[in-house]
Amino acid sequence: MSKKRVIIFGGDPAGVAAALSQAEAGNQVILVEAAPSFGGRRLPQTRIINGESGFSAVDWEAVRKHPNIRLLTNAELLKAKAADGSFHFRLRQRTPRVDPEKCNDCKACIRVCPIHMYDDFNEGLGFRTAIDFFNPSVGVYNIFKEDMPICQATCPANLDIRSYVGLIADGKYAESLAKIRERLPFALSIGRVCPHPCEGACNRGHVDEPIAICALKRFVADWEMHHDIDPPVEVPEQFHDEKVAIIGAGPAGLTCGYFLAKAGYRSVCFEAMPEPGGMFRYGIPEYRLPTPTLMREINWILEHGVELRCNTRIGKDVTFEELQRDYAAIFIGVGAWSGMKLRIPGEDLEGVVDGVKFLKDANMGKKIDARGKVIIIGGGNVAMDAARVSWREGFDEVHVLYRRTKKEMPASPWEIDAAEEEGIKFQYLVAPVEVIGDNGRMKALKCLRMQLGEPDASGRRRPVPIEGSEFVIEAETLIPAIGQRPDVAFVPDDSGLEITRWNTLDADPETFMTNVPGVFTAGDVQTGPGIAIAACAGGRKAAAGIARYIEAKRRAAA
Amino acid sequence: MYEKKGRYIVEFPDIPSERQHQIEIDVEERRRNYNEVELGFDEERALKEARRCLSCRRCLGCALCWAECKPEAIDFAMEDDIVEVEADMLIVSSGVERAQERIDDKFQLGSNLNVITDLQMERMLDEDGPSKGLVIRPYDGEVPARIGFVQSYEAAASGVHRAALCLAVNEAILLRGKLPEAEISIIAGELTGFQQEYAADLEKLADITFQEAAVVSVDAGEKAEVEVTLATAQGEECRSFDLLVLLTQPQLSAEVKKLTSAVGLEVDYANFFADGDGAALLATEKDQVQLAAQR
Ligand SMILES: Cc1cc2nc3c(=O)[nH]c(=O)nc-3n(C[C@H](O)[C@H](O)[C@H](O)COP(=O)(O)OP(=O)(O)OC[C@H]3O[C@@H](n4cnc5c(N)ncnc54)[C@H](O)[C@@H]3O)c2cc1C
Ligand code: SF4
Ligand code: SF4
Ligand code: SF4
Repeated sequence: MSKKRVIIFGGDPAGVAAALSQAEAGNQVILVEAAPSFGGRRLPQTRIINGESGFSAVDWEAVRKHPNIRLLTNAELLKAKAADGSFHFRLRQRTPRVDPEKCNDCKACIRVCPIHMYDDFNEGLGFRTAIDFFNPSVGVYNIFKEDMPICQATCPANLDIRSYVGLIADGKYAESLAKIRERLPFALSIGRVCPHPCEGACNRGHVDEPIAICALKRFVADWEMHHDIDPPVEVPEQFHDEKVAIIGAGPAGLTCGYFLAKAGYRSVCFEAMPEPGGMFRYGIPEYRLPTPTLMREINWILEHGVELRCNTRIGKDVTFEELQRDYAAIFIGVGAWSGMKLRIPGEDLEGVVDGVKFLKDANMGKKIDARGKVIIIGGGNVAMDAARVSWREGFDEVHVLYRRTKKEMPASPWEIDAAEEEGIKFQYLVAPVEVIGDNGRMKALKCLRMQLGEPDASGRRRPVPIEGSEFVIEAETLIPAIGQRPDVAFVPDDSGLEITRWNTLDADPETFMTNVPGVFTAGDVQTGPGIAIAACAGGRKAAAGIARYIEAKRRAAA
Repeated sequence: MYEKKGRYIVEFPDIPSERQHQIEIDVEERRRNYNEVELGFDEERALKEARRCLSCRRCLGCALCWAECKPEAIDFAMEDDIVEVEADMLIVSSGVERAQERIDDKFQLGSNLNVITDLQMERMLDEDGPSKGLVIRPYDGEVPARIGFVQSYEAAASGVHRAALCLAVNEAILLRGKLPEAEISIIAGELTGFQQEYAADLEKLADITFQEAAVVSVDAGEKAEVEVTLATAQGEECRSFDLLVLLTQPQLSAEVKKLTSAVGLEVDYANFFADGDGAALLATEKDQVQLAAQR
């Protein structure tokens, strides 16, 4: 048998055992482990131990000394590729900052280190110092120096939470806000609406409850607003000649414009609707984000050198080709505004209105025909907004139907709680099958009851219909809110811009340039419906990509 | 700073404050208008809340350790390496990540110190663990007299469920060795299949009781005991434990998912369990990729 190059990911006992047997067979083995040293001893999971043995003993010495095994600890996978019958991997091996050849295990460092942090080796049972041996049975010292605390690493925009929260604790509100604005112009708005994934990761959650990061961000932004302080407008003295076109004045487009201005580029932002803000303005209801608050923030962004042209739809009022001709680069941030269809009979009847359109009408102050009962289909945040708006509009009864149970509902728990508090009725394990009409108007909805079937491989249980469980709910209005897709019809066929099968646009993950040079994109149109902070993060990175692109072109021309 | 008792019990005298809540308007004030519902923090709440932050310091670069280190082993200038690797064969071992974020709040993991996960129990039982192999209640360092293992996930693929139960039984056996007097119970939704499969092994277990039941709620008792309400076939029942251990559901780490999808493989955690004694390596649909069986 010829010698093979074997790579093993995972330094748990199973991985180590595989490494030893492969190495014994004469193969060249690389053993990769994410932790600073090989993991703890483990108990078996498929057989019952007989008293004495217990933990699987791993022969660390044999692994470490085996000539055919190369160890890569503290390593993270960056890229994996399979081609021509072999694999290629790119890994980052984080430095230990302690030379294992010199260290004599005296522990003097541990005694003096002032930093005590979550002990990941012991599953958080206690604390360890920033310099530590991680796993005592292997005892490889290392200094733990992550680039970012977990909250910052989890935030899609990587806001420097630790710093801005610390500045608040010191009473330095203006400085805290400036820290936020280094990466995000929307502190007022995001501080109100962000579902704050950072809080889910926050280390304080291991002690009791996470830090209320989002509300703190809102606090400093509100502090500035309530004290009538004009936020600083800081842009370079001189702008470059090149101008950028931005399509869509949503969170992604406006953030892109803000950071372009900071980098010295003026932009013109084309917006189809009468007012800017995108889903901030036309999706998220007033009671969560009041328009005057939003407009304060947008006006300040525009002051940086972003020219806004509302009521201008690209593809109708101005063509995409004109933008390509007149501007040095284009940023597409048109969001995802087309509601998905239920695909059931009767969906075209009067009284059936898509969730996003319903919220848009409400946000524009249009008169809503709020008579009788309304049914909302879906379990996400858009469904919660539609329900809570319906309740405010004065429908007699508001029902939300969802095909799984409350536990599986993707909406944020606090939104579900608020909706329940407001008296909205939830029916779980129900799916619509037909809209029943009378003279072209809906009058009832036929539904099926569902049950959760066997868990699939991932452990999630699928809803399956219960046969013969059909029933009818009478209602005057039906609001499907089951997801959105981007509308990219404005893109001309011959532009060469590739559109995915989800109607989204692909972009390079670093520069945010699409497959067409000079055309950039981010936000919901790139990712599919997401959250606003992610759209802002994309907008900021795209601005950097655009600046680099224009500079490269200028250099090439010179 | 907090006081460290040994290396495992931590108190936070400087940051005992609870999470602050935003000011909200009442439900009655919300009907038929669009007034903002949440009004944010006032300055007092904001300051209190901001002071709760642990500021998750990693190494500060203060160099105290460097000054103490006689053999001069510490070198702050060492940098990360980017390593490029070619291989003809790939073996994936999934590790032991658990779906902790999906554990329902009702189990009070995190808020009740005497509720821990099975992985934490595994660490505690290990001689290299946080308490050098001594099993203690995190709350006060007392030795627990009544220990309950309860299933904390709703449903899982059978191989995964079996793995979670096996781990619990193994922990119970080690616990029995350390605490001969303790009352040890294992409580899960479905036990029959497992008990049949492992009948021969389970027969030998001294005084570890099994109960088929689902957890309804978990509450903190007056003396830091954990009160568990169970739904059994006979109706609801209340049981009290000194230490509650949550059986968690094993899942694939993001890293393994990224890796396997990059080479075009669909795997889930159940794939990693060999049937019976099975071979140490499991084949996949790609002949150059194998899985290291969890045993
Ligand atoms: C009802 C609802 C509630 C939400 N709630 C939250 C929440 O609480 N928290 C959160 O973080 N996220 C929430 N989101 C998601 C969030 O709003 C979006 O992720 C975010 O707005 C995406 O930003 P964007 O800039 O990519 O797109 P959008 O905000 O959708 O903006 C796109 C803009 O482009 C304009 N446009 C489209 N086509 C053209 C064209 N051809 N020419 C010119 N202009 C065009 C549109 O009019 C719009 O103004 C919610 C979404 C919805 C629908
Ligand atoms: S590990 Fe970092 S924080 Fe700890 S003593 Fe050394 S330099 Fe200071
Ligand atoms: S306590 Fe939470 S918010 Fe503060 S730095 Fe740590 S993870 Fe971030
Ligand atoms: S790194 Fe720490 S344990 Fe190692 S020799 Fe230096 S002081 Fe001692």
